[in-house]
Amino acid sequence: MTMISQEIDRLIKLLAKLPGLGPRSGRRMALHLIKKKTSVMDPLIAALQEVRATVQTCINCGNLDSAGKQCGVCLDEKRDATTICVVEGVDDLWAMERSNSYKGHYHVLGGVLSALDGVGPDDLTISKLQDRVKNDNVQEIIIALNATLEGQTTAHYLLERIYNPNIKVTRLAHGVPVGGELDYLDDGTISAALSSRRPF
Amino acid sequence: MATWQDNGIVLGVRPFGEGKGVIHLLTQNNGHCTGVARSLKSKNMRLAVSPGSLVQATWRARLDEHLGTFSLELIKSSLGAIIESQQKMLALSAVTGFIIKVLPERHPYEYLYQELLKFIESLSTEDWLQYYIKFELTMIGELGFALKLDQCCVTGSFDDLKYVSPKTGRAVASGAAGPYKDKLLPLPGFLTQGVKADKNQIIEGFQLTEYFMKIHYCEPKYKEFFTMRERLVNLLKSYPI
Repeated sequence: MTMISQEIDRLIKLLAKLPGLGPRSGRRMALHLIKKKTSVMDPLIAALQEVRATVQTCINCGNLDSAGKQCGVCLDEKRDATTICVVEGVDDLWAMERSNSYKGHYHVLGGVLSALDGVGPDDLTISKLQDRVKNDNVQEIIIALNATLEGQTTAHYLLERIYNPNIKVTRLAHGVPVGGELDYLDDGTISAALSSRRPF
Repeated sequence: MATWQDNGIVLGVRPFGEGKGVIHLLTQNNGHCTGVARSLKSKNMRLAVSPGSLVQATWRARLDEHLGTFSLELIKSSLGAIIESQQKMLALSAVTGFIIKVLPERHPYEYLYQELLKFIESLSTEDWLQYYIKFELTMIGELGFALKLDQCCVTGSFDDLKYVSPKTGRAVASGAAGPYKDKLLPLPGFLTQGVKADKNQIIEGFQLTEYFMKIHYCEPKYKEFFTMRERLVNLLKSYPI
């Protein structure tokens, strides 16, 4: 005879599959939910059901939102529709939004090119971006991809594909992070910072 | 407990669970090795596991045949030298991806390691494309299909080597090519005379290595490597070196 009922065991196994969790934290979470049915479990169930029913991928930019076929960012008329910021995933889009310093539109690529993982251009939403550039009145594209080998290889490839002399293409700066100390920086970051220095 | 410590060049990393990854290294004494590394999202590790980084690796496993775990310490990163150049990034991505697929694991390739190191160090110089082609030739040779480019296979001469036979992979002197000239592959001078290569010679070098690589590595798993390489050659053709 097992100590844990079948239903709880199933819940623990499902929770343990979530990112950052394992069987041990799954057990803790399950126990917490069971103990606090009304204050935690019921609102959680309601929130999950609501998200399941309403959240969808924006047909325009690839963001996740519950606003309808298009996301809140694309529908917001106060935002600058002539600027598109290209990001790798929705988590990067959220990071940009947290900074509260960008008021344009986005485009979620859905990954980066990788020879090792066999991710080619057709696996990304590059053609969709090309359509947006062609059909919308885009004036600037900001490439905000990670400063990794794969991220920057993708950035250069993107530049080739969306090249248009009438559209300004920019990318995020590489260099010393805010609050960073030179002594603790690696050689690569310092040389990147030096080569992209600007007038003071 | 099996363990070893060695210097290695990071070839690539595949995500494995939360914050972990399976790292592919080309090590000096142990060849192509894989192992799990933890905390990949930490500031120090992100740069250490970038392809092309030179690291000191400690590999541990309970038994020798296990996948094992890596502790990595960054010695030198090449990312800063290449991040502004699309051509360099394409070359490094292509070559590291290819090594992962083509090299058997745990077989020492010390010469190949030294040549890859030379190529990575050359990325901060102007002659890096010459080193890239030389590295590809080394790779073909180390895998058992070496080209013999120092002596004419017809006359035995060591001078005026201008062509390579596509059948034997051996050099042919200009005077000995005769009516077969059009069927032979051009041999760029920097491979035999150690001179500085111009754009045409670099493209000839790419054509030479590509010809022999495509003969021996035609399986679909190498497709992405040849696509990246093709993009690199197209970029070279359209931009000044």
